[in-house]
Amino acid sequence: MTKGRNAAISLASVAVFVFLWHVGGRLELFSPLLLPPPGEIVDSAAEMLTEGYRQLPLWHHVAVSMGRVFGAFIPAVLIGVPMGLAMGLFPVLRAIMDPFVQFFRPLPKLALIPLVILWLGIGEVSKVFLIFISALLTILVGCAAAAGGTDQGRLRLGRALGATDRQLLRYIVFPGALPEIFTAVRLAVGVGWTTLIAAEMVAADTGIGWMVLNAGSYMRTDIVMLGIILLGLTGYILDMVIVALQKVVVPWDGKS
Amino acid sequence: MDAPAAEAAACCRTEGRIVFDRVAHSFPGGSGGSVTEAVADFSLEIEQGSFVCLLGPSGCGKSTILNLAAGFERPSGGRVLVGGRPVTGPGPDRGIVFQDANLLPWRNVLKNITLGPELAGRPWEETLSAARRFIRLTGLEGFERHAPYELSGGMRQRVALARAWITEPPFLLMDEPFGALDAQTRLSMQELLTSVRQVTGATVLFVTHDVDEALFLADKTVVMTPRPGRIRQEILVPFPQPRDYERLILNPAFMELKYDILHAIRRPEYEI
Ligand SMILES: Nc1ncnc2c1ncn2[C@@H]1O[C@H](COP(=O)(O)OP(=O)(O)OP(=O)(O)O)[C@@H](O)[C@H]1O
Ligand SMILES: [Mg+2]
Repeated sequence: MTKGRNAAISLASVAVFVFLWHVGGRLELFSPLLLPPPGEIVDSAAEMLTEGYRQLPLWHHVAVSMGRVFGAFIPAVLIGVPMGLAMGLFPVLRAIMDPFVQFFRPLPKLALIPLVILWLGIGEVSKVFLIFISALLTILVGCAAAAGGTDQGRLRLGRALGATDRQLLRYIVFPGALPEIFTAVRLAVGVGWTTLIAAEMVAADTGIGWMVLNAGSYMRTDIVMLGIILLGLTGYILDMVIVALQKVVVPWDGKS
Repeated sequence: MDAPAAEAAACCRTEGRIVFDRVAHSFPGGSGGSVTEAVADFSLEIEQGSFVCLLGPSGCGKSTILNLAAGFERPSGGRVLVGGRPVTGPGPDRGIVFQDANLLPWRNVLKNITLGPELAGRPWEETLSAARRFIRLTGLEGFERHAPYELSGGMRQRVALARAWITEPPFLLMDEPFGALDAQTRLSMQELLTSVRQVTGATVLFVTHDVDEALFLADKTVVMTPRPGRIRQEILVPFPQPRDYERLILNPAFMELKYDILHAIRRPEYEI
């Protein structure tokens, strides 16, 4: 009931915003060169759907960016989740890893670009690597906290029922950590998506991030805006997919 | 009787016993640095099949004693023997029930109850029929597929009881298992515990604050001193099992025992 109402309010709020933007453009309150009105962006979107940007269709740029994010993100989850859980469970491993994790995690990944280009070249590998590192660090930290924070009562329960170490991990620690693992993955998607722009600054000639930067240098603010809207919407949809998945996998989360 | 036979007899008598032999336990100090001496010189023998209630003022070390028997803590002095062997860690021979039901939220009622047998690798058919039996005993029929968050507090505690009972452990360690329940639910849980005990016959160590509960359930009540906890008084509860609560509380002998125990709990240290 309230959920449907809140969704309606959100939609209305967006509609009012777009309307004001449109009216502002009509009344020439701002220069269309600096802030193109929504209609113009829709026109450029239609144009780009048929003709593409720089010889490549729009969907191709979206697909390339998605490919980079997922190409980095899937290995980051596959490596980061078990490794992060292990860091949470074994203090020695944590002590070994922590200095590096804590050093690199807050480091702006843009600073790594020159090194990454020198080491890995300007191909796909360096772009995927940057996104991978950002996502991995976020997942490591989240999963280590999740495993380290396992409820003592649950651990005692498992032990008292005769669980071995391996069984504790499988029956108690892992399922209990799942909600936090999802949170870490969600954060990592945000971070990975952010790093995409940085990665596509590394001598790319495709991708939404590149399209935004490239169009900016030709003063095509309509295409810049279109790219920003695409980046935002795609991130939003990715997040909704993860939240939906979370509701299916851990339906009990948040219910005491 | 020759020596080996006497030894064998002694062995078998210890089989179902819990023995605390001059047990002491201290916790390392927190940020302050000073250690907390929780229990000191605590000696108690619990006979096979008997039901002992541990009473005492808050913070006197009742949970500590229970955790030592469970193997969650190692004594800093003395010995704890369960079934004749020193406790080296937790194990499935000792069923544990805490004040908090501690159900796993990602498992439904049935799967919470069957956790112990599953961990032990028991065949599912056998586990399921045992689970059905305890679901019936605890009155949880129809809720097998419910998630823990869909249950009331009393129902959750019944699941925790069934989970502890399903493997029929020879020892049950219970730390204020009904402390968070309302009076009616608590009484029906106590009756449930009494009736299941007739079937399984475990040795029980039961911590409670509630003197009525102790007198309804226990063969013997043990009152501890304030921290560091030692035994102030052991009181046998002479009423035959199984007991009827409504009759029991009208019994003048019950009133007298209740008075004695309350007095023993509340009496300040210097009066010993
Ligand atoms: N993990 C711990 N670390 C440090 N001190 C502890 C710890 N557990 C218990 N204590 C201390 O040991 C003493 C005994 O605690 P315990 O939990 O055994 O008391 P209790 O008799 O069960 O009390 P209550 O009736 O309130 O449950 C308390 O003073 C408590 O502060
Ligand atoms: Mg306690």
